[in-house]
Amino acid sequence: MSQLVSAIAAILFGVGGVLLLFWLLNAAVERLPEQWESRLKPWVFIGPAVLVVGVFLVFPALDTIRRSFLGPASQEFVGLDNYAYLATDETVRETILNNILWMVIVPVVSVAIGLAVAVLADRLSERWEKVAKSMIFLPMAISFVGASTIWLFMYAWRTPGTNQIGLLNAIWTAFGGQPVAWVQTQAINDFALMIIMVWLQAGFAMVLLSAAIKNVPHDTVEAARIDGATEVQIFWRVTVPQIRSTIVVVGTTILILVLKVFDIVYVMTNGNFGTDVIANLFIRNMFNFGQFGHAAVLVVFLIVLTIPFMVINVRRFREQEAQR
Amino acid sequence: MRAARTRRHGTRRAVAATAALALFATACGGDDGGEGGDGGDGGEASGEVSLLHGITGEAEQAALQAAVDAFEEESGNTVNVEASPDFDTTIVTRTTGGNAPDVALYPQPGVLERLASQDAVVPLEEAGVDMAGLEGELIEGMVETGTFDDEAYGVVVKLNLKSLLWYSPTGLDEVGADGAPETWDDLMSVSEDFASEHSGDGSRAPWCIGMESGGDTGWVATDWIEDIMLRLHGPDVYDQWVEHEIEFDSPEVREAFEMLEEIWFDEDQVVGGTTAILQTPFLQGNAPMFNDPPGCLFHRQAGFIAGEFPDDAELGTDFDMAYFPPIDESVGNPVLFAGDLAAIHTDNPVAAEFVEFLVSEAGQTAWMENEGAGALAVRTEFDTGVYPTDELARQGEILSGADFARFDASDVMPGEIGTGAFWTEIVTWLNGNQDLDATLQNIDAAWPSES
Repeated sequence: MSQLVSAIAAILFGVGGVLLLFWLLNAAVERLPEQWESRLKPWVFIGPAVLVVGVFLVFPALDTIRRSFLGPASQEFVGLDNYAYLATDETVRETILNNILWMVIVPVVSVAIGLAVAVLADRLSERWEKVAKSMIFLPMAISFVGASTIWLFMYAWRTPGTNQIGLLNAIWTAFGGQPVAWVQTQAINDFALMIIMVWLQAGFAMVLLSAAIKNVPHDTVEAARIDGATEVQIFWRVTVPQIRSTIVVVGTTILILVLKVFDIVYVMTNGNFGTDVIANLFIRNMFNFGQFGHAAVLVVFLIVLTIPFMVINVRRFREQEAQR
Repeated sequence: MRAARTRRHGTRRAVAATAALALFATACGGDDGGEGGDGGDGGEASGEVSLLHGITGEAEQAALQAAVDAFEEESGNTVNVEASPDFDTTIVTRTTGGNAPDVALYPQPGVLERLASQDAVVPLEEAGVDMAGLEGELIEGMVETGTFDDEAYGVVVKLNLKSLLWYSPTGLDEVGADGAPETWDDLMSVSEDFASEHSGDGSRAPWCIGMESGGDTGWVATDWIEDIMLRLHGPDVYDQWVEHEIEFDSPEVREAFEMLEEIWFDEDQVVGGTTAILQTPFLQGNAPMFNDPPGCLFHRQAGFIAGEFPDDAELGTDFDMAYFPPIDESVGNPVLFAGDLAAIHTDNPVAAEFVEFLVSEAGQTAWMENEGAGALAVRTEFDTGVYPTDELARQGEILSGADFARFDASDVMPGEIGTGAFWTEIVTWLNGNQDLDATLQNIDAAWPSES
C-alpha cells in the first residue's frame, strides 16, 4: 500500500516538477528585455533535455572510452593493450564474425518477410489482411528474453527414446528422425538463434513497409498495368523504387538492433557452441571476468560500428521528411 | 498502529546499536565508533538488514528463510531478503552502482576476492563480527576460504558436500555388485561391466550426467575434474593448481582430464552420450536412475540433488549414497565442498549481528534442520541428529571422517577461468570442436596476467 502511494507521489512530483520547472524558467525569461527573451527562450526549453542526454548518454560514453585505455579494474593506464586484445584475441574474432553473420542475415530476412507479407496482405480482403498482419505483428510485443525462453522449448532436446518436449524434435522424431540438438550443432545453431530475432522483427518491418506500399500512388501502378507490365515487374520496377527509403530505414533500424543483440544469445547458449556475439562477450568480460578494460574496448568497437548506420538512418529519415 | 510500529522500531534500533557497540568494543578498536552509533540516530536502515543471495531452488530458499525468521524473532530486526538467479551480475552492478545490499551470500570466493580488492566489501572484523570467537567454533577452512591478504572478508555459512556418489541399489544388484564401490578401481570395473552389457543401448549406461545450467553451463564438469585432482594428487598440488603455479597443460592436470575423458566421451558409459551431458539440465540429470529398470547406476553430484529426486524415492531402496571413492590410497580421503560465504558491504550494525547469527548454533540449526537446505553445518560441534534426513546425517559423517577438505577450485580461481574458460573450453571440447590439447592450452592462455 505504502509503495503504491509513494509511486503515485513520485509520478505526481516528477511530472508536476518538470512542468513547474519549465513554467518558472519561462516566466523568468519573459521578464527579461525582449531581445534577451528571444535569445534565451530556446535554450530554456532545450536545456534540460540536453542536460539529461549529456549526463546519462554522453558522459557514460566518454567514460567508456576512457576506461578502454585502463586496466581490468580501471585503475591503471595500459595504453593500447585492450585494443590489442580486440584485434588479436581468438574469441573476439569468432564473436565479430558471428556479429557480421547476424548483421547480414537478420535485416535482409526480416525485411524480405515483412515486405512479402505487406504486399500479399494488401491483396486480401480488409478483414483477412488485419488477421494476417496481427499474426505477424504479435511477436513484437514479446521481450527478447521471453521470446528466447519460448524458443528454448521449441529447440529442446531430450535423450533419444524418451519423450521429446521440444516442438521441433517432437515433429522430427515423429517422422522417424533422431532428435537434433539444434542450439548445440555448430552448422545450424547461429541460424537457430537468428530465427528468433527475425520472428520478433518481421512484424515491425511489415507495419512500416505496408504503410509505405499503401502510400504508393495508385496511378503509377495503373499506368504500368495499362502498359502491359506483369505483377512481378510492377513490384520490382514501380513499387520497390518508390518505397526504397522506407526499406533502407527499416533495414538499418533492424541492423542497429542486431548490433546490440545480447538477450537472445545470453538466454539460449551464453555464447557457448561458437554462438557468442560482441554484446554478450562484453557482459561476460565485465560481470564474470572483472575485465572492465576488455569490456570497455568491446563497447567502443560496438559504438564505432554503429555510427555509420546511424548516419545513414538519419539522412534517409531527413530525405523522407523532406519529400512530405 | 503506525505510532506503535515506529516505537517498536525505535527499541530495535537501540538494541541493535548497543549490540553493535559492544561488538566494536570487543572486536576492534581501530574503527571510529561513530558507525556503531549510526543505529541510534534514526536512519531508515537500522533495525533492518538487506540480504542478497543467489539461491534459486524453492526448497533451498525456504530453508534459508527459516534461519532468517529465527533471526528476526530472536533479535527483533527485519531482514529484507532478495534472491537473484544471476547473482554475479547483480552483485557487481549493485556494488559498483553504490546500491550494495548489507549482506550478500557469495557462492564464489573468487568474485568476493575481486570485489574485496576493489574495496567494495567491509572486512568482517571491521564490520563488527567477532572473528576470534568464530574461528574457534567453525570447521577449518570456513574462514580461510574468505580470507584474502590476511583479512577475512567472508565466512562460509552453509556447506555443500560435493564428493558424493549417488547410486541405484537395484542397478548394482543387476551387475552383482556388493554395495557401493569403495575404490576407484571398483567403481570403474562395475561401470565397465554394466557398459559392456548394455553396449549400444542409448537409454541404459552406468553414468547419468547432466550439466546444462544456463549461463553457468560447465560447472558439473569442473566439479568432476576437481574431485579427481584431489584424489590423484592431494591438497598441495590442488592448491598450486588453484593458484596457477602448475598449469592446466601439465602432466598432473592432464591426467585428471584424461580420466574424465574416459568416462564422459564413451557413448556406452553415459546415458545419451556427450549430447545428453550438454543438453540435460543438471537438476534433471539424475532422472534415468529412477526409471524401471534403472537407466543408470551412478550419478555424481553434491548433496543438494537429493531435493530433486522423485518425492516417493526412498534412501536405501530406490537410491543410495556413498562417498565418491578415493583413487590413491597414499593421498587419503579428500572431500570437495562448496557453499555460500556471507560478506558485509555497508556499515549497518545489524549486518554483523545477522552474519554472526547465521553461523551460530541457533542459526545453523534453524537452517539445516530443514530438508530443503540439503546442506551441512559449518560448525565443528554440531549434532548430526539435527539433520532432517539420513543422507544428510551420513554426509555429516563423511565430512568429519575426511582427511582434508577443499573449496570448489573453479569458484576460487579468477572469474576469467572459474566462470569462463574452465567452463567454456570444456563445453567446446565435449561438443567435439577441439581436442584435449587445445582445451588445456586455451584455459592456460585465458589465465589473467599478474598485474
